[in-house]
Amino acid sequence: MFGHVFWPYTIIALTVFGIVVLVLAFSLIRYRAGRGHEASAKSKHSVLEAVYALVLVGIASFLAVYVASANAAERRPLGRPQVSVTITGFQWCWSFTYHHTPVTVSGTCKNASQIPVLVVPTHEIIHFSLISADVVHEWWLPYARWKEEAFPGHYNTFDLRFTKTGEFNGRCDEYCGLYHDRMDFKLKAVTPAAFTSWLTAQTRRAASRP
Amino acid sequence: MTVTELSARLPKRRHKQISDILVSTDHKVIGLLVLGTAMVLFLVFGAIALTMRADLASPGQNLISTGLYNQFFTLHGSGMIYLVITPISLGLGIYLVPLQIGAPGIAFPRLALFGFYTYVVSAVLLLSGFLTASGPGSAGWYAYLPLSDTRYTPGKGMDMWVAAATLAGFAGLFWSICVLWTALRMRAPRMSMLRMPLFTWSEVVTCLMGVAAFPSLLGAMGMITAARIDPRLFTSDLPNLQYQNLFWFYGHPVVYIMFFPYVGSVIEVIQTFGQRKYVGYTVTVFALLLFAAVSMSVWGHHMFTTGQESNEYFAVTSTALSVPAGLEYFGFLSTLIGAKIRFKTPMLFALAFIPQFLIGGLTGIMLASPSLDYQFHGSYFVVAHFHYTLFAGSVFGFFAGFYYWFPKATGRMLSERLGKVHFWLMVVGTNVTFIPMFVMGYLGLPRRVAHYPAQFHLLNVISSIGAGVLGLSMVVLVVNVGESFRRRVPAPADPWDGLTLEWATTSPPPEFNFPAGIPPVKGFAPLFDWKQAKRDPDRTPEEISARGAGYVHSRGDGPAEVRRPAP
Repeated sequence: MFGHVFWPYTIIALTVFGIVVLVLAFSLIRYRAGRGHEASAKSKHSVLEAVYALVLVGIASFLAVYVASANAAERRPLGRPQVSVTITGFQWCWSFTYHHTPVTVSGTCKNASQIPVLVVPTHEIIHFSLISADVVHEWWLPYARWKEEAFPGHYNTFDLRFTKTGEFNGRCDEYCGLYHDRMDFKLKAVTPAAFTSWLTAQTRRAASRP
Repeated sequence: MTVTELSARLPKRRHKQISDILVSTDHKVIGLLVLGTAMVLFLVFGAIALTMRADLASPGQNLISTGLYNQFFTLHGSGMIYLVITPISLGLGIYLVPLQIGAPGIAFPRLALFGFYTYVVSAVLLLSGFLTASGPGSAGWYAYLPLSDTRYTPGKGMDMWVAAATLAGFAGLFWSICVLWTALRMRAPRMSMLRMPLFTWSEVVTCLMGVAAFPSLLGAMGMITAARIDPRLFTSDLPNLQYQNLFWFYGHPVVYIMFFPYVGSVIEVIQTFGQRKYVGYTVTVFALLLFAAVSMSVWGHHMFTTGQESNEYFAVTSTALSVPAGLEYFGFLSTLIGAKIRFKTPMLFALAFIPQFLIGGLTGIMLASPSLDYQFHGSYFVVAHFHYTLFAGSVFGFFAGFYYWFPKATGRMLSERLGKVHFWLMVVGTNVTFIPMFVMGYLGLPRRVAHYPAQFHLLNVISSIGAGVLGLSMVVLVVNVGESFRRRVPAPADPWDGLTLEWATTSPPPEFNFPAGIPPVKGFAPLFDWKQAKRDPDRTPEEISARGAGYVHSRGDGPAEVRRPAP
């Protein structure tokens, strides 16, 4: 939905900005004191004001409906999830727990090798439950144009689906104390087959752990 | 020895003593105390920002430690919002509203003075956090719970931060009450509400929001206080979420408290240097009131990503703000079209305000869309957005007002040449500093990080160079003010050919403001109307001086002539 709103909004914003700058530039050149004219004595344009106000209300109403419906579409659950993951934010790293398996991926975020990797399959609906173990964090994956805050004692849930494989950087986006700036994670989207074999290997490793 | 002889022997007081100034009930003295303190703090918290920008010039640099960086952005945000821009908003009201409405003083002057001392203690508390072992508060300016409780941010410095924010909230509340009551109850005869100058109107709506919003800040600070006494109260979800609701119920209106008086300043400057009455007065008053009303129900857009907010409702209300904002722009532009524009320093700042604030406003409408906020919330895009509103907007509006009213308040002229140097440095510095931040946010850089990935290096270097230019511009400002006091070029009563009543008395105005009376009030620009009437050969002197107050206006170098009506 980001692109559906961002580009129309950017075009509208640039248009409005352009119009205002042009009118401003015109008035500064045309009505500068050096031209030896007198300032207009008029201080009301009632009809123009009313028409302009109506146009504004019209544009604002359109935008309001547009963004509200974009949000409704974006927040709608995608369907029956194939994979469910609980994300826990803590000071100062992440852990990812795969439901119905003993697999939990975590790290300390202290250096690049300690950044936890969230492995997900492409083309499948993934259901995330997001919680914090301490303060308010925020799970942000810029590639997915998506973030949500993690609260202590409350699960926020959302669905995501990835269409292409790859590794994407994510991070905490709500200031959460001293080492907020290193609270990173990686999301690795792999093919469903690769995901299944990864999860099986992880399950075996988890089971063999004492 | 007679009384006269006795008094002649007493030493004459040539200047006001410091003690007189510190206990004065004159609104001008209180206003200047607030404004002067706030401007000093502006330089302090600006220097903190420059240190951060120096640290950010390189991705992994540790010019200051991560802990100190966190304290610095907390102090920069808290300081600028609680102790600089909000106090300047209301300080301008304390100084100017009585002068604009022809009143001899402010309502409840002792409460306003008490507010000043509350404010000073707040500033001292916030900054003296540096003297504690753990340093000053470091939970950010909105200090979300449970981060700001004693489990996660222990230390006396954070306690002092909470006390400082509480006292700043009280000061804001006191000043809002004083300025609001002054405008509502102390206007000159015949000055109806719809004849108040637009700056005064901007103060009225500011104070309306102030009396509604500051108590909410006090409530939020009460929650943090409770959490610092017993953090176990904040282990479940609801209180932490409700803190955010309570805080932003203050936190959103306050961005308009930090905006309207500067719009008011820009409006006054545009009509004075455009030499005509403001076009669309009624529309602008309506827009301000609509703005204030809607702004009380948009706070949830700060919480779009909490997953626990009515996003669609707040998207609609926030988008609706484009209507009053658009109406304000109608006033700016339609006054300029057909004006006779003089490009003095105040006017330059006012003109730059128009496109620069527009960038902040348009990106604000973008951020009112949850779909965009799911990417931009907490990123540098937001940092760029609110610096365009608060710095490229409000601070430019403030400097428009500063250069405009400085001669009135001090009785001294500033240098036009240095003023223009200050202006151009600030325009370049502002845009070079903040434009790259939009790009950084779009590319995924979060705010409040001391270190960042190398891909953002170049953009950060550009931004830091811009910040250096801004630092330089403030040096020029300080030199200009210093030179003004050294050179002592006296300011006439009405140096800019003003339209409103503050230009109808001496510079600076005497105690009780209008010894010569005021021109008759027949509209929102009484002095302009009076000057027009005086030029009209068909009018009799009695018509011109309708109140018979014998008001005589002087544009010469001396103070306005004082001719009291015969008793």
